[in-house]
Amino acid sequence: MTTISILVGIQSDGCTFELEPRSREIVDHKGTPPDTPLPASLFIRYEVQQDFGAILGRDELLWTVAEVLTGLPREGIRQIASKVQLLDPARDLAQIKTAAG
Amino acid sequence: MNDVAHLFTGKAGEHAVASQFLIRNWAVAFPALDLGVDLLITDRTHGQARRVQVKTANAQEQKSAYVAHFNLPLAQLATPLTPELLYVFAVFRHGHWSDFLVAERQDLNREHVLHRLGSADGDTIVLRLVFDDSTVLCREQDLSRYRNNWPTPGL
Repeated sequence: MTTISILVGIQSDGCTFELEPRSREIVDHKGTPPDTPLPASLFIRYEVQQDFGAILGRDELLWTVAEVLTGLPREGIRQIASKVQLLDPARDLAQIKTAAG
Repeated sequence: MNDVAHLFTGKAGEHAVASQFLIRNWAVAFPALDLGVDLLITDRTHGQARRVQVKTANAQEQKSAYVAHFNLPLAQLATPLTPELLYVFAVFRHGHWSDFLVAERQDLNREHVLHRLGSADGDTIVLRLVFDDSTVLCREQDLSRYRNNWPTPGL
């Protein structure tokens, strides 16, 4: 079992998420049904500047983002990964949040 | 003069790239502050917007090819953005801009992570691009598909 990594870019008006390239390969080969187009990225915009640290720490947000980016339900993700993690490349790929698969 | 020569080349490259976008019907804006993005382009019909990072280099001649070196900050390469970032690598040779490589940040990051594009140098990767009439190589990797790979508004 492996880890699905999601990269996040934190901006003043929201956050952009995308699958880390190796994780994208795993999802493409093991998870997603053929010919299912996956989003390249996902942007969540907030009208008011937020404490994204607190928001990104929520389990539910991580799972929702993972489901959208992989095109798989939570159970499908659990079949291919033991862990889902959120990484911030702007801070040396610091781990923001991890959820057990 | 020499210590600032690269600033002139860099700014000239930005304008050369802006010209390429304008001729393809992109509206171009120059940010008043340099915060890591050189140009903003928008498609007035479809509302599509992109950030553009221009990298410039002077060509170094070889026997039957020429070489250009570019540095990319790793953190910038790996960080997703909205609107997304487009890299344009512009090469100055024999008194004019001879080559433009145009690549999405996400595509280059994938090349780097999966195929070890470039060579790591601390917090940056160095791309040593070798150009000839038909190909662009970075070590053994063929990047020819990015040559003049200008985006089309609306796509």
